[in-house]
Amino acid sequence: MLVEFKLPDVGEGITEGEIVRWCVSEGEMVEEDQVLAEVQTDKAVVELPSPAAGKVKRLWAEAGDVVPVGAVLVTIDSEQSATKQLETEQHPQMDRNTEIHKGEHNASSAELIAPAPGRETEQQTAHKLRSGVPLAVPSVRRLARELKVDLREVAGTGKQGRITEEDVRRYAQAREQLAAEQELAPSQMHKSGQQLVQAIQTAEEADQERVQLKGIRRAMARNMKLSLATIAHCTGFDEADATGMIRMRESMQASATEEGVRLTYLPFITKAVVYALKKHPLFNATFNEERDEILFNREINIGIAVDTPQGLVVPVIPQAGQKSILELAREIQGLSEKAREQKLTLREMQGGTFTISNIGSIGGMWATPLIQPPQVAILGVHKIYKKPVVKEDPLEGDQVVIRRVIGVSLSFDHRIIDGAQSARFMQDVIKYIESPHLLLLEAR
Amino acid sequence: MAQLTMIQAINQALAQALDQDPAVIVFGEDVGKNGGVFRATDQLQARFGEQRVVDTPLSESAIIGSAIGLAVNGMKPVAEIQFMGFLYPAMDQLASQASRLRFRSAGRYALPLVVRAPFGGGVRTPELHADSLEALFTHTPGLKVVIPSSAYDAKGLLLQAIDDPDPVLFAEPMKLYRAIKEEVPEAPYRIPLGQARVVREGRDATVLTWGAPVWLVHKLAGQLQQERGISLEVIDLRSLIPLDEETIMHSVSKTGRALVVHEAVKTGGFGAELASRIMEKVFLYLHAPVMRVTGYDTPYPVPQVEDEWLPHEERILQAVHELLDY
Repeated sequence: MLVEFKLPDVGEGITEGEIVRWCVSEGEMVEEDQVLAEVQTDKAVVELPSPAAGKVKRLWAEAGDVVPVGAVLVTIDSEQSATKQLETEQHPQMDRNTEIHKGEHNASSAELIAPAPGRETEQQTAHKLRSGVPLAVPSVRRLARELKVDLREVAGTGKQGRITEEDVRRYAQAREQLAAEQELAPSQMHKSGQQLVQAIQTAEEADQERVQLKGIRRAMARNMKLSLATIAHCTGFDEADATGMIRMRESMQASATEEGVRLTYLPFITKAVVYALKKHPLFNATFNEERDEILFNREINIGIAVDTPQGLVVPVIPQAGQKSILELAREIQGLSEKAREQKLTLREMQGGTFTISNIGSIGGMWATPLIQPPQVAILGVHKIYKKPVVKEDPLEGDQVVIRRVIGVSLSFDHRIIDGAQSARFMQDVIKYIESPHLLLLEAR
Repeated sequence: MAQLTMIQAINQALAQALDQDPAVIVFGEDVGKNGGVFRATDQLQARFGEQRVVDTPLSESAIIGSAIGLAVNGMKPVAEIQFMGFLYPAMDQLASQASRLRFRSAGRYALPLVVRAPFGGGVRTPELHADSLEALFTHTPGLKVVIPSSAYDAKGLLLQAIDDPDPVLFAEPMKLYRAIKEEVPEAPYRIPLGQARVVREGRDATVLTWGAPVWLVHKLAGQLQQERGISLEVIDLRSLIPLDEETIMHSVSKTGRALVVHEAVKTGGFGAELASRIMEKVFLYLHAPVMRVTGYDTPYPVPQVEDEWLPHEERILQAVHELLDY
């Protein structure tokens, strides 16, 4: 029997995946559950186990191809296992047919057994389509041409991930909206300026190298555009005196090392954020604009933005509100390693309610991080550096001293959070960074 | 205006052609004294004499061969082949001789001959009597292929076919010979070849068909409109060669969906040609692939199962739904 293994919907909202590499080759015997391929979806790299034992008859895509959910990836001849010899003896006729048609590229043995009229099912035909090509009926392609929409950028919501007319219209609308918003920004150039830039770009194109965005990079591009197009971003900047946190970390580092955990500043900052979120649940909410509803999340799940060679990924620490600093440290360490090895599962990247983006190790004072919809805020944490600050002393007079400070940038969704709320939240985060012992006071 | 069956309309057309033009001659097996196997030539011999309505020996190849000789020498022969399946023995005459004469003579000779042949299923005939072989002839350059589906069209198209300077296969759906009665004007009239008839206007999908299925599709379209609000545009092609591409493409680009229904077997049938042309001309208007409901890829079956074999209501309905839900 021929088993067709289709790219499963490995997670909510996934419409396609990129074959990172094949772990098997055509003609190879595989066991059930043996890993067939590594597939990178918009969010993570997943291993796909074989649904059956048998011989790999055909691989329908090549490494690097982007394949829609529901498309056949592998055809496995499950008869080509231990029972093969017996089957062949019982059906010598069938074997002869197979022999005759061996040279035919597309003829599967299922077709040869039943060469009845109308033998090719719709599904089989669909699966023969070239992988990586966006699925859309011709009338949708015409619409896309008219609206100048690149179908490769549109996520399909139709059957088998097909792009519908509505998908194209929605995409075009979002694009217009984005363009309109950009037009409002003061930094935007005038039309003539834009045309000039375009002309220069066209002239320079010959000297440029084209790189197709794929996987995480492409997902990031889409998500960030969606973020900017749909969320009313506003960012507040501040500084915290990091001395308290540095001292506490130093005092704890040996114990953590004994536990096998590398203690960085991030677990402390995460803990500080968790405490602030407990006091300000609005920052741990999600917003549904269509229904004008704020949904307060019961759990605090902290997304940690991790820089990897493939791009920025955001694994999530679930139930961070119930975890100790050591536990947070251990999880951050594990998730970061997995992220860099592209081993994160989708589950590990879903369900975040608030995100921390830590770029302190690289440098930079401030930034305006973009919020991941449907979350409503994100905290950027920057490098710790020495700075002269005024130390107020009513008895001996104010003094300039050298302190180690850390920059923090909080982007919040101004549709539902106002500046004052944001400042209060930030002050609490700063308070816990500056005086981490307060965390003990409220610890449960 | 008289209510006529299709066979009566054909009989009337032949009589008027014989009456109007002394070059017209009707011949075939049993067409004279007997009046034809389906009575299409009834009373014609009595009226026009044995020189113009001629009984031939049982030899299809000889019938078409004679027709070619007569036509090339200035006559307008109308030959009857009792069933389309019996055209196989005459295929050499049709494909190797008749269809090529204009091309071979660089346009010097025309060949005004008409081959009438009943065809199609649903009447419980024995083997070779019901085969729909129209694709064999559409695949033969130089032949025209005309298929009426109503009494009115049968008369007008036949008179036009007799006037046509090229060989025309005039395929008559035998199921419709006596199944319908329509008002048919007494006076001779002609319907140009290559003009499809929009049987019913609609907006959701276009059904392209010819011959006996026209009536079935028309009936179903009415039901679908009434019961489910589905609006089908039904087009009777009437002539496959020449083909009215304009009407077809206009309709398909309007509805975005096309279904072809024909009795002939699927593989290599004229439905495949239509699907392909639609792709070439109006591809970007399609919401779904062109679909086909046809006979199966087997020889025409025994009477016990022919209703299942032919495109029937259920299969057409299913295809319409697949097309709309694609």
